[in-house]
Amino acid sequence: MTTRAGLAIALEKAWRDFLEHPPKDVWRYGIRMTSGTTGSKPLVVVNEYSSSLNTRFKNNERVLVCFGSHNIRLAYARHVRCQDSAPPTKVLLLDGADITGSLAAMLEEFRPDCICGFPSFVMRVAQYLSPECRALVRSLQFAGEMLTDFNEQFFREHFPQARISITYILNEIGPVSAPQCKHLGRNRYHPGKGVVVELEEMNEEGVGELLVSKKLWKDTAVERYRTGDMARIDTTPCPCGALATFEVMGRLGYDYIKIAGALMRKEEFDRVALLLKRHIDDYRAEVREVFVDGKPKGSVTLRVYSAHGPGTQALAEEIGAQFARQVFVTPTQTLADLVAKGVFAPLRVEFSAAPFPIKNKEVKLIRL
Amino acid sequence: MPHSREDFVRMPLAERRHKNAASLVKVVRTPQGIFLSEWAFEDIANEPWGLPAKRPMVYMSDPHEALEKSMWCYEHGMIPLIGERDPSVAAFAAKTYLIDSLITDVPSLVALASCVSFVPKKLDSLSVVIAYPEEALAAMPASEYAAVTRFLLALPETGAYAYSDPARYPVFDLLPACSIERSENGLLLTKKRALVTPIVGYRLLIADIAALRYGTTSL
Repeated sequence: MTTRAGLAIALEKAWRDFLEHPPKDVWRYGIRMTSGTTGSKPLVVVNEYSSSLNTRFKNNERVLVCFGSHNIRLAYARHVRCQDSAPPTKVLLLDGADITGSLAAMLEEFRPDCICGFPSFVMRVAQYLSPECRALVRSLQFAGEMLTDFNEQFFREHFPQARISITYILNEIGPVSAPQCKHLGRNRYHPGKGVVVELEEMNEEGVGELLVSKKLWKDTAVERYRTGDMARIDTTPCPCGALATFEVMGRLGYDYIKIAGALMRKEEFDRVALLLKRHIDDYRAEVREVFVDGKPKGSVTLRVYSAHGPGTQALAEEIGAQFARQVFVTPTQTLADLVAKGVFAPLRVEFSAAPFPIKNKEVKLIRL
Repeated sequence: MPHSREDFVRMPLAERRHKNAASLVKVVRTPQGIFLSEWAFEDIANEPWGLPAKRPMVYMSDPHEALEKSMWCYEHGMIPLIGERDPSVAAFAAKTYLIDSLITDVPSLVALASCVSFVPKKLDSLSVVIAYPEEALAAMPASEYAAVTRFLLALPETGAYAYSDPARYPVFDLLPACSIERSENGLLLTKKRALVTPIVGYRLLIADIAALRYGTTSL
């Protein structure tokens, strides 16, 4: 099994080989930073791009790319440049700093027919696209974040002509999934060529941590690398011919948090937040274990932003009670049920006076 | 055809597009307004953003400019390291990649100054993109970290049109396929290439350049 430390060693080995033997076909390679796999220092790594990526925009004339990182956007520019399409494709690589009042006019001029990016970034950008422009979008290609039910509903409503697809890519080891086939739904993928996926510590629902084996560079590979994502594997053959499908349920410790016998899922929190949209425009939830009278209990703090401004303490309590009654944290029990059983402390709600800061990747649910 | 920044701001991209090619579209933010500037990849390749290198780094304050210069590196057979925003992270990456050349602008160069000093060996080349001739002064001290330093006068919408170096400064030489004429409205640039948005008699932001040479002839 490749540990995080082992991955760092493998990546550094690949990097040294890259420096000593620079490849001639430069278009196939890119350099990027990872935030670090050992928890201490970032890594600079080399990526080899599959030639299949060079056809992903063959039916698009104007591609809008919405990723926060420069090197990811550069990779997309490279994909556009390397493809042979007629008519030629144009690419606009949007930066977070471009999301200002003038963005609507820019997008009206560019009129994308394909948008790629993090779902949360694309959702922000969608607000600046007129209905007429949105109707021109034929393809939405996501990566880097899970697509929630709420996201998908939003994109289907706002981009009625677009085919939605998502690719599973890990920052530290690159693409894991193949381009999504038309038979797969949200967050379901076939492994990419040469990639093997397995699960570890499966629970009774068949969900476990996703392990990935794949070649990184020439003779350097990772074996059963722990991704930190929870997934389920389905071996029913797909009509496209693929023999395995994996479904990513969320990030362990972020989108998917096991605590005090309960399972907190971001998707479920999003669902309930939508039900309470009269009071909640955006939220952040922090989950932790606390000790009450010497006994461990689960605790959830919900920080709520409302465009109407912060509410009263009474309103905070009312939102907390309603949220806890509706959010399921086991297949049959709500958070309120577990509070009543003394397993969880009552849900605490705090108002945020300002919108939450915009980050490249949105972390709404986190374990502290 | 736009003859000034104001024209770029006023005219939609579709009206300024004179050829249909695979291209990169940049968002350009200026005091005159925000506009889109489209560059065919083949035209990016024709700009003189850097010098041949093995391990170039691009670090610029505007991400659209950084991405364009990085594509230039690819067009010239080089794999670029594009620096992310945080200078300390960019510096770390520069050191790890053992960069031998840097394409940058003055604000980014200043932010990265500590990096330039800890790059193990002198850079082979340093290309500093500037909008005004006097900006080169702020970049001058960094030239000691590179065997060759060039100051490229350029605008995001026109590309580069003149260059200098620490020895020749404040003299700037016009780049090939560029011509400049003086007029009542200031300097007018023409680029003799069929760009997506042609640059013909385009009013530059500078009223004059103290010493501008076309080849060996002073203008």
